Amino acid sequence: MAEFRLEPGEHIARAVRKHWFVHVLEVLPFALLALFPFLIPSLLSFVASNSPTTLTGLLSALTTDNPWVRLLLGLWWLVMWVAAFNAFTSYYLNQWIITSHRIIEINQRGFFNREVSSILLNHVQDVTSDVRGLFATLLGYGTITIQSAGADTFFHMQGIENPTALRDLVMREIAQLHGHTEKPGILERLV
Amino acid sequence: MNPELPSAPLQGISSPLAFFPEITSAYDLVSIIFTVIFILWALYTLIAAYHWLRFARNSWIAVPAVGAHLFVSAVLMIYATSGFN
Repeated sequence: MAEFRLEPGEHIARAVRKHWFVHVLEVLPFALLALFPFLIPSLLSFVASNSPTTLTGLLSALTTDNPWVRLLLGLWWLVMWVAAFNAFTSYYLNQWIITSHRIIEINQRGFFNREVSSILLNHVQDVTSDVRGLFATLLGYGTITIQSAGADTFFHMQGIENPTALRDLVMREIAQLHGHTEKPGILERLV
Repeated sequence: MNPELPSAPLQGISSPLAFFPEITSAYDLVSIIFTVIFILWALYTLIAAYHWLRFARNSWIAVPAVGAHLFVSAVLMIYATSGFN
């Protein structure tokens, strides 16, 4: 990533994006809209069954042999493709990077609005993961919220893959930063 | 009879194409519309490719993603204009 440089001794623990299923849900409307032109002849034939004289001519012209139909169909699909590619670009360029020192949130909102913000791990006060809903539970995605110790600073990412493991990772990095070891404590050993 | 009403016969509404004397046929109109769409697409593609290659250049997916966009767009544009050969 070109937006930030790692400090000496800092390493990237993990980089995460939204879950693939969330991205599929974002792209699905464009796929359905791309299929919509195939419904138009069926709809017209349904209407023409009630008033055959008005729409029969139009219906016979709606074939892919007609260059105008091809033009409209091709341009419609081009628009849908660009919209889906745009959603994929946004999905790929948005991410969270957890390093040994901080959490970096990269938020691409359109092409001319890219926000990169960081929060130091030693400023993190609370990390909350939230998995809600049937698909989220089955596929393992959810929301993670990180609150800093200072003011009202929140890091919030929805639809992220495996938020529980990410929360544990953040807590582990914080513990390492404060010099705690990976060894389990007395209570953890007893449990 | 109202004297403010015109006495001459009403003229028909002229076609919008009359404002563009160079456009003599529907095919000319298609080529102009398509050129405008192509310019918009090219601008979008340049900006998207810039973002992919600047912010995700270390990723293996950057070049295939831009390549897939170019390929699919080209196929769709060729399909759209294929009836006007």
